[in-house]
Amino acid sequence: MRMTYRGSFNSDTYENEGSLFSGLLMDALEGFAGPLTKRTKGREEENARNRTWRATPVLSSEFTQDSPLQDAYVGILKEKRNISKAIQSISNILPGLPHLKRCSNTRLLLTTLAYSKELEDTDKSDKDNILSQVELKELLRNKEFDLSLLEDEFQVIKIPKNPPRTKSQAANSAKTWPVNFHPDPGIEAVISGSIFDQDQLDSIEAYMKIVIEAAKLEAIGNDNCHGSSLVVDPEDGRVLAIAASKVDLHPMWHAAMIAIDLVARLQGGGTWNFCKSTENKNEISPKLKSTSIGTEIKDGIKAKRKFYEDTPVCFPESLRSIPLPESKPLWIKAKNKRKDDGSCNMESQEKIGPYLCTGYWVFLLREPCAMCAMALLHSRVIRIFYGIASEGSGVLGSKAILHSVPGLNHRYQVWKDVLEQECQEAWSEIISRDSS
Amino acid sequence: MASTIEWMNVALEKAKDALKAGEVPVGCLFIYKNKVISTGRNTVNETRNATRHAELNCIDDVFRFCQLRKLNYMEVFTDVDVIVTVEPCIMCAAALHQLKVRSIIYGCANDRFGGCTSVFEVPKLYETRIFIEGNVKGNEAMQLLKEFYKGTNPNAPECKVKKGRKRNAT
Repeated sequence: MRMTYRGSFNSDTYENEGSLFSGLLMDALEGFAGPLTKRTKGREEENARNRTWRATPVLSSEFTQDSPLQDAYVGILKEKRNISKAIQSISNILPGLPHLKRCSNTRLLLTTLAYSKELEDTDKSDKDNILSQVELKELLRNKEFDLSLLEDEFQVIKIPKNPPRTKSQAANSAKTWPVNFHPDPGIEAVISGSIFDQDQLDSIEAYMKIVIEAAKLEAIGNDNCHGSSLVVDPEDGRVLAIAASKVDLHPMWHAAMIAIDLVARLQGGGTWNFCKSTENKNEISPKLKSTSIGTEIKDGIKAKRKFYEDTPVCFPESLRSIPLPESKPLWIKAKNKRKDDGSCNMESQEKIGPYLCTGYWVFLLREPCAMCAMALLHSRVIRIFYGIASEGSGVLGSKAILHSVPGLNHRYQVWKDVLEQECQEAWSEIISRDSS
Repeated sequence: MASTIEWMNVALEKAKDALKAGEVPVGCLFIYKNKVISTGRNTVNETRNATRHAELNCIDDVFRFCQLRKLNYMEVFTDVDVIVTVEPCIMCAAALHQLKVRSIIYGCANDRFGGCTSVFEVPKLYETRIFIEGNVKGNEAMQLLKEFYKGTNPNAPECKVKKGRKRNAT
């Protein structure tokens, strides 16, 4: 029953919020159907032990910080047997605070001290005003709350202002007042790291090793952005593009910007003529050279798929020499997860082919600058992994958390510290090379 | 010497070109020593590259301009005034700050991606202080955007928004 002491007050409201949120997260996780296969525990442990790194999710403060506290009135129940009646009555009169239990032992949560719109029929006009105990009693009396259930004197306590998003936040919030909380398995898996199984972590490591190699071979960047990048289609694990920053050739040739344009080439588009820029005039790929934007686009899907066999496209060309791991799917695409819309999902995908970098995973040596991070967002990549932070210019953790900025129309998930030590070593090597 | 308004009119013409070509209608001019050295518009659909905004196309142009004339592009950019019909997005604002252009004059605000003030304040990330002024013929720029979004993007996947969720959200 809703109104029993144990039941969550207004739990339906809360759950709606919860599911809407988890819906948003599932957008980001779209297609993710958990670890590919179950493996024996022994193997998991063995592999985990051999790994020197742990991917750290870069989350917004909404998930990492505890809720601020606010003042609230509680009334002390004279008799415990009236709990149910009191909760029912108060929740009808002063609804709200759905993330909190309405009662803790004999303490009944009445309302916050800060004036809220629900109390509009009180005589208060100043919105910043604090509700006094006298006014609250007056309000309760007018709404026919039985004040005789409570002790005369109300108490003022601290309660968490915002609903908890994670188990850890819920535990901390519960230290001040009991909370209603339904953990979101998707979020908890991201936080605990269980979102990836050992095979996926092996793949992530293998891709990052290519990125490191690419950076060592070719990266020439600047203070703004520097390093190398790799784009992979998680559906089959195919490496689509590998790039190293080349700001000596063009001020916009940051690794991620180049990789995005290389993927555009695979779809019959692309802007930059990389062939002309390389000193030895090597072609990126024999077929790609003949790409004519105007005609290819008209050919639609055929054009988009035309160069798929040429993957990965690389710039600089020398990156082609880096050996690639065997392609294997990074996740199982959740088939027809939503049966109603399944038709449009699958068929339209087939019909129009890939769109920008939708759904791709991107690996970067270093945290990207605002230009690169936003370019990846425009391109609709779904996951970004990077090795080391760029404290001076990075916006996926260091100077900002761009992917949590409200209002942006697409979100990706971000992990840092992948092969952190190796990336750091590569970085030091590049820096000393550049300065020598 | 043309006024800001006159330049914005030219940029708006470029934005109209983009609209005719089925691109998001944003037009842009780069002005150096009181001369337009580059005009650009969005070419995202044409290039299948979501980063091909008007400003980045102009940056490429100016870079070529400098290469041909053996000019130091870093010096040239610091004397460039950017006239663009819509507030530069976060990516473009970052690019313009990295290149240290002299000023950015824009038409309407960009509520979806704006990198000057609307969604995220890129200037706070950089030491370079660029003169930024908005709302120059903003209504006209906005009208073009509205016209574009009345239609549908021919390249977007058909059902990006889950129908059920859309209902929940509204």
